[in-house]
Order: sequence, then structure tokens, then C-alpha cells
Amino acid sequence: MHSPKEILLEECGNLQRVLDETLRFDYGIQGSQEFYDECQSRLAFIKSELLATADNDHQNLQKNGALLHLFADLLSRVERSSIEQYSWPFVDELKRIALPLCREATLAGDSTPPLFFVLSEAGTAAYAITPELQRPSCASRRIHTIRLPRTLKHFVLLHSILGHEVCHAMYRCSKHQAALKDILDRLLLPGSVLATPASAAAWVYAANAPVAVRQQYPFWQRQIGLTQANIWTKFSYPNWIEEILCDFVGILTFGPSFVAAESNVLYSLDPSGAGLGPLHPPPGCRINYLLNASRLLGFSTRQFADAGLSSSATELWMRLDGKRQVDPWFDLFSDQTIQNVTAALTNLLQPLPPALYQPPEESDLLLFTRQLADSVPPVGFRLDESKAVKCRSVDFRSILEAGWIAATKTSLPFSKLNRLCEQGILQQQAVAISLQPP
Amino acid sequence: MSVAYLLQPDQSRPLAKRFAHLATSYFDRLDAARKPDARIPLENLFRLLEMFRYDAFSDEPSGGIVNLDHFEVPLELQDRDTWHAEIRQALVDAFAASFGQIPKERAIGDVQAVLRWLSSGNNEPPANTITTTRDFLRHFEQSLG
Repeated sequence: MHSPKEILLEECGNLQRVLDETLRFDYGIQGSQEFYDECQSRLAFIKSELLATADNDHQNLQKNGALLHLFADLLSRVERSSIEQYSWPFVDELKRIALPLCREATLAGDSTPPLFFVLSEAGTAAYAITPELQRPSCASRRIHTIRLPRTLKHFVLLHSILGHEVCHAMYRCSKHQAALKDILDRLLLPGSVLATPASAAAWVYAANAPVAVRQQYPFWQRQIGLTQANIWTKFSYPNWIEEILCDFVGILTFGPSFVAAESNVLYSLDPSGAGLGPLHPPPGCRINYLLNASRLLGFSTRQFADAGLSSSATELWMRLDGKRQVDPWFDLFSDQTIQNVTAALTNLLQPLPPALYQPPEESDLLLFTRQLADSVPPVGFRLDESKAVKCRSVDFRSILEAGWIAATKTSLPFSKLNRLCEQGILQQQAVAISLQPP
Repeated sequence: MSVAYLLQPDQSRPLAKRFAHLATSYFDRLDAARKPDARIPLENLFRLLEMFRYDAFSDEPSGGIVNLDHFEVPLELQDRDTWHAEIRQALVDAFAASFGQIPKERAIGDVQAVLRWLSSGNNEPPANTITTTRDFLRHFEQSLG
């Protein structure tokens, strides 16, 4: 028979073999060496701790066994991260946005980027960025996981929703957390129905709550004994508030594409828009404040000189506005609050390029929507008088915005439109490389 | 159903205590402090200090864009403050005991500079800073029970 310690040490050997086999290949978007070095440090630490633990020290054997289990979980996730299963041109761009927001002070320096790897799994609801926790663990350099839906591999227009997830990773970076909390406490919550846990509970159970909300009370009561008095012991008030903050960061990082993606994805999961969740406020509330923010930021009111583009953009915002919940119960924030919050977040994101969304030039949107109408990937190039190709760099978010605008008029299937936009992003990356000085 | 289910208590406090113990031991074994496995305790302590500096202890997993697994997470078991309450208090006590009236920001900077030096061997801080940091780590370990 083996002792618990012997089994755990055996597992260390197993993990070492998996580590050597797995990271021989180019897993992850930053290559394998950094992952390998980080994992090697973690495993070496756990093994040294196990060796230093006495056979009869059950408490520390359990502690180190738990570290080993978490490490095995991480390694198996890294192993499943395969570049063929997700849109790597999109992820490359997403990483460019996320890295400056997630840099943190470490032993190595004051601005160390975390490691990211990508996991592709399940369907529409899989979108997430899971930051590695900050609390004591066997982590040296933190490893964050970007989760994309396997079934929506090429659907880059919907991937814009990851603008929301970027904020979750940012929130778990110590230096940003205080600033983000300040925006929540000082600008977002005061005066809103969500100002305190008690006022939020009263709002959920208000007599004027929509029927679709009230119909859920008995369900939740049966399932987990949920009442107005105990709601925040079973649901998470801080998570609800953080989700709202992340929506505002999402719209500021991805612009109109984020609003379109979020309204499409959320309503596909909860068509009523009234669903209460343990970690998330009702989707209808989220879409309403995003539509209001779109108006206040000038996204939905932007005028274009070109009649065709103007008509398509108007059509897009009309369709999005059709997803607005008309019941005032869904409106959480005043226009003034939204303006204050978006202004403060803009100030926070401004020094961290390229986080902030910049509205595209009309000429770019026009070019891209015409390219898409011709089933051509949207790319920033033109032929000059001598028929020479002239290329220029264009932010990938302009391609996404053009994709959503083009979707209002095109007869192309949505999947094909997404593929064209994905190819556009890829080709735009090639353009950027070609424009680099030798 | 998995083969066994055990309620795993949060290990933050015992880990923080262990990390402080290991870091204290590195002052007498500088070569050990520069090995790859020593990065784990030193980096974890550095990270805790960053959280303390910004009072940024919110560390719960987020739920993605929407959470369809409504019954998977017994939220009443997730007390958001449990993992860090004792650690934060231990940091307050250790800073008070070792750095006295020195401003928090400067004291954190001093400890982090020593952790970096332990890890890399570069930029050796003044001897009194090293002594105070060693004392701080010892207090921190003791304060964690």
C-alpha cells in the first residue's frame, strides 16, 4: 500500500510527464516557453513542499494535495488549448487590448503582463475571461484563461462581447481595482435602485416589477428558499454590480459592436430579458443602459454623409432599440449617472492604449461595408492610379462595426459575414506587418 | 458524481503563513531564494502587498457574460471576506510592529524591494531595510496563528 504522501509525489511525477509532453508544442497565443517555465516553478514548489511534509501531517498534506489538484486542472486546460479551435486573429487583437489593462507589479518589474491562454468549449454562453485568483496559491506569474464558444469559432461579430470580460480581468488587478471601485461607489450606485443591497432587494421584489420577474419568485423560493430578506446570501450583490461595471467597460472598449453582440447573445439565452441570476442582473436592464449609453456617447446618433451608410446605420440602431425593455422597472440609471460613469472610465482607459474604442472614419466604414456587400473581406487598401495596392492600418473594431452595419442590408448568411470579417482582421494583421519599418 | 467530495477549506491563511516562513528562511540561504520554486512564496507575498497597498481584496471568480449553471455554486458558502480578513489584519499588525509610524506606502515599498532583491540578487537594499523586512515577515507569520 502507498501512503497519501507517496501517492501525491507519484502524481507530481505524472504531472511532470504531462508538462513535458504538453508544452513541447506551441500551445497558447504566446508560445510555450513562458507557460513551461511558470508551470515548472509551480510544480517544483509543490513537490518541495510535499517532500518537506511529514507522513502524519494530514493538514499540510491536504493543503499541498489541493495545490497539486489545482495545478493538474490548469495543466489539463492548457493542454486543451488548441489554436485550431478558436479565432486566433480575433484573440490576437483581444490580447492587445487586454494586456495593458492587466499589467501588474511583480518581482520582475512594475508592469509585468500576465500570461493568457485560450480555451474553446461549449456554445453561446461560454464567453468568459477567467483571471487567475490573486489570493495565495502556487502561482508566480498569473495565468488568465480566455474562454470562447467552440461552436461559434468564426463568429467574430459576437466575440465583441469579450469587451465586458476584459474588465473582469482588469478588476482583479490590484492597482485598477481601487479606481474601479471608486467609480462604482461614487458615481454609479448613488441614487440608483441598486444603491445598497437592501434597496436592490426591494427593487427586485417591488410591486411594480414586471410579471416575467414576479413569475420567477416561486421558482427561486422552491429551488433555494430565496426571499427578499435573504436574496443577497444566495445571490451575489457585489457580482451584480461588477457585471454592470464590466458592461460599461465593454461599450467603451468595443463601441457599437459590443452593444450589438451583447444584445444578441444575452437575449438568445434569456428571450424575456427578465431572468434573475445569482451573479448577473436581468439582461433587459443591461441592454437598456447600454442603449442609453450608446445615445449619450453619440454612437447611435452619429450622422453619415453617405446616404447608403446612413440608412444602414440607422437600421442597425433601430433594430437594437427594438430590444429595449419598455417597462421603466428595467431602467436602473439616469442619463447623468451614465455620463459620469462613462467619463470616469474613459479617463481610466485613455492612458492604456489601445483599450478605448475610437469611432471609425466614415470612409473606412463605407469601404468596409461595400467590400462586405461584394463578399470581400473588409481590409484597408485601395488601388492607386497606377493600380498599385496602397495599404494602411485599420483598427479591427472598425471591421466589426462595419460587419454589424452590413448585416442590416446583406443577403449573406450571418456565418458568412462573420467569416469575411474574421478574414478581414487576419489580412489587416498582415497589412500591419507589411507596414512595419524594416 | 465524482469519486469523492470534500469541502476544501480556503488555504489562503496557511499558505500566506508558509510563504512568510519560507521567505524569512531565505535571508540565511540566499542561494535558495534564487531557485525557481522560491519565486512562488516571494511572488505571492509581493502580490499580497499589492492587494494591501490598494485595498484590493475582491478576488472572487466572475461568472462570464451569463451564468447558466444556477445551482452549481452554493453562494452562501462563498464568504467574500473570509479568505483575506485574517491576512489583512496580520499585515496591519506586522507593519505596525516592524515599521511603526513609517507611512504605509513607504513601508510596502521597502518590503517589496527586499523581496525583489531576495529573488534576483540585484539592487541590494540598505542593511536596516533588510533587517526591518525580516522582522516584518516574522511578525506576519506569527500573526497568522
